[in-house]
Amino acid sequence: MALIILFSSLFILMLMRIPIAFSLALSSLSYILYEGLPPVLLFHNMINGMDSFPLLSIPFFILAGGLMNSAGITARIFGFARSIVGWMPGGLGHVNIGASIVFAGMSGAAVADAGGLGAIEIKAMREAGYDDDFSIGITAASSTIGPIIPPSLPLVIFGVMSSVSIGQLFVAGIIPGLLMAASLSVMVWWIAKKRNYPIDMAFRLNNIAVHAKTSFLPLMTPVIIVGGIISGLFTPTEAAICASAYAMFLGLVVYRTLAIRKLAVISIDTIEVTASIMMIVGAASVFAWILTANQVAVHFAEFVFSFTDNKYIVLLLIMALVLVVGLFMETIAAISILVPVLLPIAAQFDINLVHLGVIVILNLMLGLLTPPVGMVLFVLSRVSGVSFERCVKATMPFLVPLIVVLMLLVFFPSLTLFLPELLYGK
Amino acid sequence: MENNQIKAKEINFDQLSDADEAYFKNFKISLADYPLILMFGFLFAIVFLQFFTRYILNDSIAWTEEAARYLLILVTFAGAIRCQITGSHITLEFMDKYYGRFKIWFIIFSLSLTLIFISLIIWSALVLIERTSFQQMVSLPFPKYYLHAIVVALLSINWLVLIYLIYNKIRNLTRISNADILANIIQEH
Repeated sequence: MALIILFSSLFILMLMRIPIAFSLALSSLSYILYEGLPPVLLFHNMINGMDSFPLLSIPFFILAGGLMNSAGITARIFGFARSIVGWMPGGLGHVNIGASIVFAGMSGAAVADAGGLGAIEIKAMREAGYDDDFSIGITAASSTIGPIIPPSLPLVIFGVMSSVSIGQLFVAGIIPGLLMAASLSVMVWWIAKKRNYPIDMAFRLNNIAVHAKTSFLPLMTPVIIVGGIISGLFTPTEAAICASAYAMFLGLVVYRTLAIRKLAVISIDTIEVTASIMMIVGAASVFAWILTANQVAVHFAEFVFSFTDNKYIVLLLIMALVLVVGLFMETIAAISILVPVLLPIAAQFDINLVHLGVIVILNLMLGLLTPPVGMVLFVLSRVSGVSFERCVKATMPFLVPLIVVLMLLVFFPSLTLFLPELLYGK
Repeated sequence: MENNQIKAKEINFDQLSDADEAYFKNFKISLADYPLILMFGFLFAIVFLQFFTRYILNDSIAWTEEAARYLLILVTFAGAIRCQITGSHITLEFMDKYYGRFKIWFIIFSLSLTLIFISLIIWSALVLIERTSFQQMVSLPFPKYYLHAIVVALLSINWLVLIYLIYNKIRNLTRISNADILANIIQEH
C-alpha cells in the first residue's frame, strides 16, 4: 500500500507541473510519514546523495561546454571537421557528425552540442543550400553522440547512483559513440546519393594542415580530457576542472573572445543547470533509499524472472521500459528513477553494469529526439526558427541508424566492454 | 543544388556567433546573482587548488575535497532559488498545453505544494541539526551543522521567494479578472 502511495503520488505530482526534484522528494516524504519513519531521513538522505566528489564534475563539464561554445572554439572545430570530411557527398552532413565527435570529447551534454555547435552547423548548411529538414535531422541525431563519447554527464550520474567506476563507463562509451557516428554517416551518404547533394570542399592535405593549425589548441581539449581519463591520470572531476580552466585560458588569453561579463553569464547558466540536476540527484537518493529498503526492485526482478530467464529478452524488456520513461522524462530524472529499479535486475541476470549504463544512456538519448520531451529538438527549434513539430518530423528518419546501433550494443556486449576490459582488466 | 558542386566558403568565426552575442547582450545580471557567481568562483578555485596541489606540488591539500563537496551542496541550494525565480527547475513541460486556461491555477498549486515541501524540509533539517550538533567535519575545523545551517538559511530564502511568487501570481490573476470584468462592461455599453 505504502509503495502504491509512493509511485502514484510521484506521477500525480509530476503531471501537476511540480518540478521533478520536488515530486520525488514529496512522494518520498509521503511514504516516510505514512510508514511513521522519522522525517529527518528526508533531509539526511538528500544531503548524503549530493555529497559526492565525482558529482563535482557536473558543473565543470557544463562550464567547459558553455565556454567552448562562447569562445569561438566550436566554430574552429567545425572548420577542422569540414577540411577532413567535407569532400564526401553530402559533405556538410558528414562535417556535422565529425564536429559532434570532437565536441563530444569536450562536453558531456547533448543539449550543449545542439545549442552551440548545432546553431553553427544549421547556419552553415542553410548557406550551402541544404534543406532545413536534412540539416535539423542530422544536427539533432549527431548531438546525441555527446553524452556517449566521454565526458558524459548522464554517465557520471549513472556511475554515482550505481557505484560503478565512472572511468570505466567513460571508456566504454568510446566505441558505441563512434558506431553511432558511422551509422549516421552511412545514412547521410545514402541520402546524399539519392538527392544528389554536393560535396562541400575538395580533399586537400594543405587545407587540412591550415585548419589543423588554427584549431590545434581547441583540439587539445578532447585529448586532455579523454586521454587523461583513459590513462587513469585524471578522475572525471579533475578532467572537468582541467577542461574548464583550459577553455577559459583559450577564451580569455589566446582568442580574447571572452570578457568578464560573458564569463559571469556562463557561470550563472552553469549554476542554474547544475542546481536543477543536483536537486534531482538529491531527491532521487531519498527515493532510491526507499526502493532499496523495501527491496522493490528485487521483487520486480523476481517478477520479470517468472516470465523469462533469457538475459537478452530481459535486456529488451529493460530497453522498452527505458524508452517509454525516456519519452516522457528528462535524461537525468529518468536515470535517477530507473537506476535503483534496474540494478537488482542486472545482478539477477548477470548483466554487466558498465554495459547496462551505456545502453541505458544511449536509449535515453532517443527520448531527447522524440516528443513530448525532446530537449534537443526544443533547442534546435529555438536556434533554427523552425517549428517543433517540423523538427520532430525531420529527425524521425535519423532515429533508424541510432536504433540499429542500440540493438547491436544490446546483443553484442563486447562492443561496449572491449575497451574497458582491455584497459582495466575483467 | 547541382551535383558535386563545391560549396566551400570561408567560415567567419565572429559572424557565426551572432546569436551568442545577442544572448549575452540581452542577459540581465541582477544584484542577487553576484553572491551566486562568487560562490561558484570560490568552488572553481577550490577544485582547481585541489587539482593543482595534487599534480604540480604532488601533495594535495586535505581539506579541499571536503570543502568542494560542501560548497557544491551550497551552490545547489543557492542555485535552486534562482531556478525557482526563473522557472528553470526541470518539470514535465509538455503537460502545459493540456492545461489550457487553467495553467495559471496549476502553477499556483505547484508553487504552493513546493512551499509546503520547503517548509517540511526546513523542519527536517532543523531536527537533524539538533541531533548532530556534536558532529565535526572530517578535515575542516568546523562542526557539521554549520553546513546544514547555511542550507536552512538558503531554503528559508527559497521559502520567501515562493511566498512572493504565489502572491504575485494571485495578484496578476485578480488583475486579469478585473480587466476581464471591465472589458465585459465596456462591451455591454
